[in-house]
Amino acid sequence: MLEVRDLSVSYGPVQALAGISLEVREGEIVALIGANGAGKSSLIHAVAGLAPAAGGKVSFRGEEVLGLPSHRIFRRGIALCPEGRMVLGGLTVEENLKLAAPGRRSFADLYELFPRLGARASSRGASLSGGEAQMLAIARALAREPELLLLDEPSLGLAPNAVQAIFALLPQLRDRGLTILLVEQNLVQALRAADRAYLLESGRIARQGPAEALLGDERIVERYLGLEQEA
Amino acid sequence: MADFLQNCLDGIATGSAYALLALGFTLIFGVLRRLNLSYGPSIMAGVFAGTALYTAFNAGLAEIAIATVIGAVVVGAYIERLCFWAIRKDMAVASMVSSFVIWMQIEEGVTLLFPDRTYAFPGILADAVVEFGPFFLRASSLAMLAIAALAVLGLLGLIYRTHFGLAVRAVSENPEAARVAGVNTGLVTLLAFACASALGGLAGFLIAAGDEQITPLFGLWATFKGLIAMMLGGMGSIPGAVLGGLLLGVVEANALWYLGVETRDLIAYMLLFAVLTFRPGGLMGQAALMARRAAESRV
Repeated sequence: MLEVRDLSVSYGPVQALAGISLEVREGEIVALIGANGAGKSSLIHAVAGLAPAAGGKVSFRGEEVLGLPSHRIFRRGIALCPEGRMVLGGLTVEENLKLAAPGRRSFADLYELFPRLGARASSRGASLSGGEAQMLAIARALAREPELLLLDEPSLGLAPNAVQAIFALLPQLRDRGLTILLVEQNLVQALRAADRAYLLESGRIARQGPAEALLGDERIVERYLGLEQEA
Repeated sequence: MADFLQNCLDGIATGSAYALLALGFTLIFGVLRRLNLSYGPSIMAGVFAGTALYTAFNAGLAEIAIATVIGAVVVGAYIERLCFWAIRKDMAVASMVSSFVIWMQIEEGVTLLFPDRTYAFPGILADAVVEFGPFFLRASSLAMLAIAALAVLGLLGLIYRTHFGLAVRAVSENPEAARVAGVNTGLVTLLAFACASALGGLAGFLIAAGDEQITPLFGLWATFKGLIAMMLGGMGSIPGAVLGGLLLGVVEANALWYLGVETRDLIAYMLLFAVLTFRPGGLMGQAALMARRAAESRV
């Protein structure tokens, strides 16, 4: 479904991604894991059209999308749920959803998936808790019924029960036919949720394989859990 | 007291045109977070497009109004592409300075095409007067008030009842978040600029029709009036722009009556000084300013 070939991203003299290639197949949950600054968010921002790529190719369902503006990539069926959520605080919950899906009259299916949002449909985004705002960010990404969801650090800054709720949602979304590319620093949670994973280090892919195999690799788990504990 | 109330009535009529100017500034500043100093000159260029139609073809009021609005929109789009679209979003000062340069360009261009000091502009219902008990209003002022009120209502409907308005509010608050939600921020910005220019063109037409003349210096005048009205009401606040415009009109009308024409502008600047000293966010922008300061001070 999504094919990334030799993708490079640079911010001035700093190279964030150095020729990365990866693939996401239909119906999969693929995790991108790695330490802070490894290039995970740069990769999905480049795929979503929000970061300029220095080179490479990104094709979605066989069509090149690299270089297209973000709104056109969004219309092709790739939606981003960004790190930090980026909920519009001055708009209501429903307005945040309408913004992403012009012309859509009902969001009943999303309110069914996130009952808390349904109860707060007319509340302003600024009044939501962290967990509610994360749900709204995911719901907004789903509002236009995308085929691929780019999920960037969904657990960041959330209480443990909210993190559990978010990760419990991922299999449900996959069952609805959604393909997910997940960027997550919480290594264990990410590998438990994913089918396959890519481990990024300094803008390059250091390891890849089935999530279970990476989860079973003690060197990876120790190293990254160690990094997290140090942080 | 009767004089004061009559002045207020006159001031509200004039202030309604100021409110349109301030709304244009507000719309541009709200979406771009950058100041367009060429806004007044773009309106002046639009009014001269109407003047050209009037002097060359003796066109009717409706045609002149349409030409004025279209002229302002075209020049506004030129400014947007040159000073805002082409310059990175984090270079607000470069945008502002380049908009000042374009101001000079527009003024020089119009002066070359229209070398006389003033040009006649057709009035609306020039000599008619409408009486309200002991008070009266020129019919042209009443028309200005009615058209401005309709334009304000139309803008409010556009901003709060349409998807385009939703996108404008989203881009105003956080352009990056709007992009994530699939908004074509470049197009929304251009269209918001066009709306602001259309409002400005309408204001320019109403003011020129009220004065029955136009001068190339109108750009400077419109920039001052629109900026003062916007800052009085609160930068980025739509209701604030309306309130600021009306307040400026009322204060000017009373200053003119009680203190004379030479103090009129001075009083307006003093009012702005007082408001910015005691309410730095403007009359209706204080809450937004406080929220922004709180967000900036948060670690």
